Amino acid sequence: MRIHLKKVLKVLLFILLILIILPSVIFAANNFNYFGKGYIYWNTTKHWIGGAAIFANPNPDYVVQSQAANHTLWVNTNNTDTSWNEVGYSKGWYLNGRWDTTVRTLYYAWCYPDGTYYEYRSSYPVGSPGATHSYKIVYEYGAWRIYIDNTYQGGSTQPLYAKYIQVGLESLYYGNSCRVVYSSGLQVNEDGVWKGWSGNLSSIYQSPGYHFSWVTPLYSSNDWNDY
Amino acid sequence: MKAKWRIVLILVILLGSLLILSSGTSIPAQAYEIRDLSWIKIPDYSSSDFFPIEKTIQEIMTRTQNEVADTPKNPQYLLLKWSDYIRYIDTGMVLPDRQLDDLIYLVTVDVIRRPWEVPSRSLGGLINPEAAKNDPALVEHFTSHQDIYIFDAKTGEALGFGYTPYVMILPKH
Repeated sequence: MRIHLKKVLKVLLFILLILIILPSVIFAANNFNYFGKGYIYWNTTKHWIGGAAIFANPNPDYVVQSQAANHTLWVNTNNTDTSWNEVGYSKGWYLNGRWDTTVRTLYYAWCYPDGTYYEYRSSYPVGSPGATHSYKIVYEYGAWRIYIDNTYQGGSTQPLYAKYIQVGLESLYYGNSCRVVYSSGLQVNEDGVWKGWSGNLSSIYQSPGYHFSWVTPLYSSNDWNDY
Repeated sequence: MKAKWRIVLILVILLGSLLILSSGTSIPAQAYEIRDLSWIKIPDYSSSDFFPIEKTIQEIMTRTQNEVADTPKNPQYLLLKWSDYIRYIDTGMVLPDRQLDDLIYLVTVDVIRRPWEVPSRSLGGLINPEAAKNDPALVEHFTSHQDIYIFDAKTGEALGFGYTPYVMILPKH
């Protein structure tokens, strides 16, 4: 009877360990963020009021997991990293109540300083894989306004200035095949004057396997996943 | 007798662990603002020609339940014009790339989403959900309490979505 009890206890303890460890491992694996992006920023306040980039639609196309962004231009607001406007390309969008990864669309979005996030599907034609679009976010007439190919999309009223301007992609799934995503024509608007990214502090986010590099130092770039 | 107590103890630990795991989070929900917009009256634009939104709402509820630890509740929907939407809902929005008289369905669902339960695109380019877990200020800043969806009233096409740190009680017809 005593030996039988020990066996029962061992089995129960084993089950307990599995119940605790396994979900943690799965949770961690599903929630790690993968980045391939570059950005410029300042430490001493600059009057940045806009950012611009040119992207070609991914070709071949690819799906990033968990509604991450395929490629995006982010322009932060309010001199922080927690509020921003963004515009970009998404392989995936809601179809009825479900996220459908077959839908290709352009989108624009913003996050207000209080954490409220809104994202909208652009009515602008997404174009075929490989088609190029220019993206621009600039503070005009009292608001941050978003343009695709110089066509107005929408905008939000948020405080000045931009401290970070970023381009790139993000994903929750390491294994996706993101062969080529180009960004070029990277510009910053300082006090109403558009200029290249050169001459500013810059940095790169890249998870293992993702790369983000500058074709011409601090001016244009490409990023890709080498798998 | 001693052995029986051991078994009881193990069972208690097991049940406790299961409860903790099923709750999904040990972080208590912080206080949040309720924005009561029910005093606003929106004209009733209902028409039998419009997309039947009820099935979509049901799909949203099912999907949301699978995505988050919290239980989604209190689905609301309202038929309104874009002009009403930017006047009362996304009040910081400058004009959208849509006709202001176009009708949309606004759907909301009350649900708590932690930073690691929202799509990473809604955290911007600099916030990593993994890092946010260890930063209480970021957890508080990016914890939302209501999901928002916008659908074209005629076609049912999803035109937008969002997450708010507050809960809105929608205007009435």
